[in-house]
Amino acid sequence: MQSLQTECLITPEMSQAEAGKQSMTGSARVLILSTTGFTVMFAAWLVFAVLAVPIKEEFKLTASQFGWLVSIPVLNGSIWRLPFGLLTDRYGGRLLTLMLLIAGAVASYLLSTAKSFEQLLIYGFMLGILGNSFSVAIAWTSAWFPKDRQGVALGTVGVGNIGSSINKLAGPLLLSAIPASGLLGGFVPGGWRAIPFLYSILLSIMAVVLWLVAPATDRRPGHGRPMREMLLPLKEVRLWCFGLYYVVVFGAYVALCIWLPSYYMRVYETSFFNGAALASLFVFPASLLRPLGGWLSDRYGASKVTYSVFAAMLLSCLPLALPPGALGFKIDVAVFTALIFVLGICMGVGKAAVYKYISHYFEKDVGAAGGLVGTLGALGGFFLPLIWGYVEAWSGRPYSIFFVLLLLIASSFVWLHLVVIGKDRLISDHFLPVGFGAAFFLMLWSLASLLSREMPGPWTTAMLCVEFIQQSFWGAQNRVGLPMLVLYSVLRVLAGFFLGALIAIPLGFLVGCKPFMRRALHPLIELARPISPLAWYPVALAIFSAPAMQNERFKAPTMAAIFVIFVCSLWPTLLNTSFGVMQINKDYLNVARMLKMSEWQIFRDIYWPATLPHIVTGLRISLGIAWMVIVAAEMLNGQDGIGFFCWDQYNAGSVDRSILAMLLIGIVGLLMNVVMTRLEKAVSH
Amino acid sequence: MPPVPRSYLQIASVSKVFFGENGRPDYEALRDVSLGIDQGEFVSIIGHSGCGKSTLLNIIAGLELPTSGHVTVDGQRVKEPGPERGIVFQNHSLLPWLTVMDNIVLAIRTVFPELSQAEIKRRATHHLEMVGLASHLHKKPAEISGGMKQRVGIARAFAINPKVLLLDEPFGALDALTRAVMQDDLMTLWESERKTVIMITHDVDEAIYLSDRIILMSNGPAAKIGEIVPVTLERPRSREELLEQPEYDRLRKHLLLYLASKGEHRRPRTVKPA
Repeated sequence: MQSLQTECLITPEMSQAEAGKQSMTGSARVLILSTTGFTVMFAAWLVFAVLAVPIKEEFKLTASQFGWLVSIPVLNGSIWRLPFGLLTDRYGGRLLTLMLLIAGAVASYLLSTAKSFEQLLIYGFMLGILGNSFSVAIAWTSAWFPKDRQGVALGTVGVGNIGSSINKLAGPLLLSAIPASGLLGGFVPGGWRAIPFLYSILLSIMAVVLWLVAPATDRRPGHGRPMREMLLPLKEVRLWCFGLYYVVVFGAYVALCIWLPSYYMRVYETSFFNGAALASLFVFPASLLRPLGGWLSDRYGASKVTYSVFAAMLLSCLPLALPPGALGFKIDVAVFTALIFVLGICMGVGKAAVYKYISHYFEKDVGAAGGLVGTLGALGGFFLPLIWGYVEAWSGRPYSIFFVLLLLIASSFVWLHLVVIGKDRLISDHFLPVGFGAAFFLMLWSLASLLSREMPGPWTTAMLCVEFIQQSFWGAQNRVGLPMLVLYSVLRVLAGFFLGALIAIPLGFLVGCKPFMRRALHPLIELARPISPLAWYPVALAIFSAPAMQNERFKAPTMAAIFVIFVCSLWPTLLNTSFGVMQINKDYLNVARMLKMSEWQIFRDIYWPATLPHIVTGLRISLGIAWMVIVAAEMLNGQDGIGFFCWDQYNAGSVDRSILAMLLIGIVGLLMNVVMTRLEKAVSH
Repeated sequence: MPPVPRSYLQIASVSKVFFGENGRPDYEALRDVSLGIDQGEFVSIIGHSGCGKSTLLNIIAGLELPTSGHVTVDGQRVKEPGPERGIVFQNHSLLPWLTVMDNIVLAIRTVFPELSQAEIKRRATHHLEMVGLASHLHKKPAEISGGMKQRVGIARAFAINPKVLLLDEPFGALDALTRAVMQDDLMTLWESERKTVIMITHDVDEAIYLSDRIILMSNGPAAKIGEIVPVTLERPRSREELLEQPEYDRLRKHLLLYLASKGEHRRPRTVKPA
């Protein structure tokens, strides 16, 4: 009572005592009206799910015409959710629901009279506006409930989603029950037209009931606020995070509803009927558990519910996303259905948690915030099946859609976690640019693969490589596995690199300190430096093939490769060292002179520490070049190593494995650079 | 104070000519500079930029050799730098890879290799405490302020226990407040150890506050000693009391006038104390 009274302060035109009394019954009435209203409107919105087949027959629609007819109302019912939410905050849910009901009744009636495809399209478009009733119902309900009860309230409203099932259950029954000539002497038209007609009546009745029952003095949290202020929440990154969350729990739910029956048929070879029946095991928990999710969110907080939901979703989605047999057991129909069922429960509960978050974070802007999140979720439901279609066509693997879903769940989880711990700036400052760059690169790659038949696209490459790694990561058929290949290359590089450093650093000091040595070596260095290290390969091979050089363990090609690395890691270290020595601050030397240091002391206490940062920079550059050169050297020497693998797999026709080799080369190079950069930082002053 | 000979540090007819790359004389910095300095005396050298005062200090330090003439310290002719002439460099010249403590430790260990590790540590700590840096021992030079770095430079010069302390515009890069504090600290140090000090400065007040004598250099090329101004103000001096003494004003005016006249060649003369 106390909390309700304070809640009522939002409406200044009521006296406090009156408001307290009214809102007790008022909020209950609003909840019932908005839930039933939303259910009816949601059902009417998706009426084409039932009408599609008879309409297609009557108008002899082509596949693309049919596609338009089905998708236009869905789209129109998704994109206006934000403005409708805003208008509800402003002018009250009573007015907006009433307007939607009347508009829906008119559109529905018109639809029942449609004579051509164009008319169908126009009336379908008009009817589509009903999809936006979701954000109206959410905004209206939240205005009438205190914070700690909004979870259940909004969850209850969401059960209206069940309206789509009403169509599926009642539609076919009605179609068969009403004679072709119609009822009541033709007042109710026959055939499929009966259904929109009946919906028109139902919507009208609902409008009258609403007019009579809804509290006359509505709550309008957005009343009198400038539009710009009401739109401010959209600037908040975390709202878009909740949008992604809703794409996962609502968008993916809608998409799975569409996808699952045929998935059962294709993968598990069930009949259409069985597929649909098994799919409904997913549909029901995902729709009906919403109030439970709301209650849990009210009780334990949205975050606890959300974390549990995400953990369960990841665990149940992971086995589905992996190639068959990856976990050592096969996922048969029973396991699949069980996992999908868990996913359904999570989505049902999660949907309510999203709106609990919204009413928590955007207390005064549930209209705008809820509207946007609703739009994003609905658009997710619209676009996900399209994306899945492409991914499956690309990869040729049905389970790949669960991989997409897994990625979606994981990224949503990470983002949400960052929002909860208050570090969501990371997203806009780092992840977003990184994601943008990666997406751009993947796009270019895909384009390249479209142009060349030999070049696999990113998705195919990933799939082939995952399979290859699973089969022969440690090597198969007398071949060396990937880790050993990388290790061989790393060992060669390190051997050549350390030999190079051992020579280059003392030489650098000599060249830097002694003008005579500088003049003696400078021309040689400048001449040798531009020679590609690989040009040394023949010479090296000749040297190490000499009988005196023969060695059981280290064959000539191996020694030649190490020699090439030695040569290429020589120059940067040498030049940087001598540069550092020549660059030394004369003040340090003056200090040394004042203290009368010995030559050895000057080297140990002044030159060495002063030059060390330059030396390490030289070493870092050397190692970077060495790691690039080893790949080419191994391609030449044809023995083993990751460079050899890269070339060998291309010759064997597996460009995907060459790309895998590139990835490994990149990762190892990156690690080397990280280590050297750390070292560089540690010695800098 | 027992009488000490004025020739403890002797600058005898020192001239310095710099040679260009072609081996021909390029610039004559100093011409025939002679000066004697007492043991324990604090002498400042003032002059315009480029008047050769840094060159003179470098020659005393041994970092550069005079073209003609010579410098002796305590009867020993200066041929190269050495720890008996401690230098506080203009830009502190601390080794950036060592901590404050290790900079001092390195200096002491190099000059007194016979000392035990513990003794070296003790002396280093002592000298850093003297300049008020006891709480910054383990910081790198990059982590402390400009004033603190200059203090470390002073502590290093004192730590090698030199006969003569050479300061090359030690406080030039510091703000006025820090500079005043540093001047007081230097004064205290000097009074406790009574080193012979030669300091180059631009700052007239600093020179009067610290010095026994002020050497005014004429402008280069071929700079000479323009004038030698004794400062007879009583020690210990306090900044506030100085301001009220007419002698202080007189000295100040005199020095400023000299500098304002751009130090044109004048006959050396000695100002009579009032």
